[in-house]
Amino acid sequence: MPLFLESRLIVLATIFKQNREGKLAQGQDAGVYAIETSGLTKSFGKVKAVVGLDLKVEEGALYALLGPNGAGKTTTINLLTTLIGPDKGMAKVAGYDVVKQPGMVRRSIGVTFQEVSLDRNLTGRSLLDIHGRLYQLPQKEIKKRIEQLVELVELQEVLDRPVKTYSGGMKRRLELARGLLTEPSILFLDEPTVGLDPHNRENIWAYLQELRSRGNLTIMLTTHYLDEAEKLADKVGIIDEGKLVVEGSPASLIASLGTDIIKLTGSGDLARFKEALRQQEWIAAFRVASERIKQDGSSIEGASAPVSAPRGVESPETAGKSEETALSEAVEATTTASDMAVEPGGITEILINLTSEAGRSVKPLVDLAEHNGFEVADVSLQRPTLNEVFFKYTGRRLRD
Amino acid sequence: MATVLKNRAIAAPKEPGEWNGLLAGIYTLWLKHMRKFRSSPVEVLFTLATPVLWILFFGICMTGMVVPTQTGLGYQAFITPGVMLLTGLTASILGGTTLLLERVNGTLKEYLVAPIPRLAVLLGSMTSGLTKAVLQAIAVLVAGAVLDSTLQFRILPFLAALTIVGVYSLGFVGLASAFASQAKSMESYHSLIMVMNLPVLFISNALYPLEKMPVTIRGLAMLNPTTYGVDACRILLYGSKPEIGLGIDLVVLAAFMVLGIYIGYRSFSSVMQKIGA
Ligand SMILES: Nc1ncnc2c1ncn2[C@@H]1O[C@H](COP(=O)(O)OP(=O)(O)OP(=O)(O)O)[C@@H](O)[C@H]1O
Ligand SMILES: [Mg+2]
Repeated sequence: MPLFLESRLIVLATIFKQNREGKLAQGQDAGVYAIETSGLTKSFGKVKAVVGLDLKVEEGALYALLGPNGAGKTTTINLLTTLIGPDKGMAKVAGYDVVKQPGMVRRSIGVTFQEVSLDRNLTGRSLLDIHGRLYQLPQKEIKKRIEQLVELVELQEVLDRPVKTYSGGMKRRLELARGLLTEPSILFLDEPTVGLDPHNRENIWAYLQELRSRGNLTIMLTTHYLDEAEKLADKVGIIDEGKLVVEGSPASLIASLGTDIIKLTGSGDLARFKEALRQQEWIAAFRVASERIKQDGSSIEGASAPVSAPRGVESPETAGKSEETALSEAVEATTTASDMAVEPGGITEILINLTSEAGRSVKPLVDLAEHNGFEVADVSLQRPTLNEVFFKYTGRRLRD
Repeated sequence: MATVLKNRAIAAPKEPGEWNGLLAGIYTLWLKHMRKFRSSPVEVLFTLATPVLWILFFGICMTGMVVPTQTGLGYQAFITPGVMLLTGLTASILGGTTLLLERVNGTLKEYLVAPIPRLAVLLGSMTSGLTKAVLQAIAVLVAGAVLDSTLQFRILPFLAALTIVGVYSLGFVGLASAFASQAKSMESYHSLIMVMNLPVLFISNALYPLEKMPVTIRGLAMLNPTTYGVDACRILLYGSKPEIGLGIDLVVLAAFMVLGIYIGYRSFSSVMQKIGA
């Protein structure tokens, strides 16, 4: 965390000093979970926005809801925050049923919406004041908290200006302050960092982490920045077409993709090398990613699959199959394409999935290549990220 | 499930603290709308300028053209009650605009996830609309008294007339809320309002007496709440000879108010039901 944040974050200690534990326990049949849904379903006419969603979020966790546009993330948040009612299924937030005890749920949560929802003609201060009044906080308390929060989100200078004069980042920060004003035990943030510059984005993440470490705050958020989710979430859930497709900690999801991937670039007897690769036990799968064929000095992109990353499993149709089968299918496909195109002197990229750690396999792999008439020009290591997990489970179609 | 949701739409408070939430919600929304009203002098000026211009120009210029009516009032005095009600109508429409704007710009969501009942959102908007209507009616009364010697500052008649404006405006606040809850956009809201606005003024006894109207128009005017409001205000403010009668006026206006609020409530809760909240 940037050092300059340190001092301001101490402010948070005072804001969130009171003990959150116990707050959740007041729920009727207090479970372990801050958020719990089962079979949650919501349709808009023919569009099934959320279909039988089962979620469990532990108290104090940061849960990131990921998914392509139109996957149902916002609808899920709307259901959990009692903005809309479910067609079917159950949802409990802070131990309260969203349908039967919406008032209690609303008292326990703070929300920021995907779209900016601020009244443009009010000043920042007035807007926060009105928010506090809606929650029936005493005037003195509202004033105190405004001072503290505004310092936190660095809006002191503009606080008495109408919101319409704020920049996009200022508006986002004001919304965050508004969400925190009522000291919620569960915070819902729908794309909190969208449209923010890197500085602001980092600050917001730092605030959130700090808030969590001070009190027992549970956060559920959505984001399209997978690197952020990977870095900060305890658990991510990827949803697509209203269904949860996969859930787990970022590390475990990435690990489930298999081990590291080595990219070899080189030229030579491709057919022989591929045959040799197939024989090795320590190679799980491999794929010829692209070929650039040198002809009279001009270079042409090969006709096969995209270069980057281990996207062996790309389309939803293959999503269910194991990495290995999908990859070998890709191999078949590229083999036919390349057999026609390859000419002597062509440079080839091969992506190789290993069964063991990459560091120890580089040398044997290069040796294997050279023994089989394939001259290696470059070796690079690719570790899978949450991006790969995302594409594996949601495919790459354009949505909406 | 569907029926359960229907009954739940914006039912009476059940959970603990909901009555407090209702009052706090109404007050907070009212406060917010008043702050916005105060901080936009243009809105205040425009709504005040219209009625004053009516009294000043239309009143003064028409005075030479019109023969005295059976009400026994000068023309300027004759139109003052109508203009006052017109201001109430304009303010009611603005109240609806507030609700619509908050729906469109997403502020409504802030209220819907706050611990206040849905009903507070509607009642808060209605209350602020009503307040604006009454404030502006006061301004018209003052302007009327300044510009016209037949209208004297007297507390009781003024209060009575303001009550009439309040009751009349509440009816329209309800209707405006109904439109605002359903309207797809600002444009469609305003075109609806424009269609409603003019006949409400012209097909009434606000600018000409009932006795001078063709029979069909008089029939239509009798369906217009403005006619009853104008008659009541003339009686209360000037002690003029009734065209209809204070008793009937009051009954009709009260009925209109209840109907308007009811329609507003129905429309708002049907929208809330649609989102299943
Ligand atoms: N009020 C509504 N009326 C009709 N359809 C809706 C409504 N709200 C959402 N939908 C539909 O429900 C589906 C899920 O939408 P939702 O907003 O939850 O997606 P999302 O995951 O938040 O997407 P994004 O990443 O773009 O914000 C979409 O197909 C959307 O068109
Ligand atoms: Mg969304």
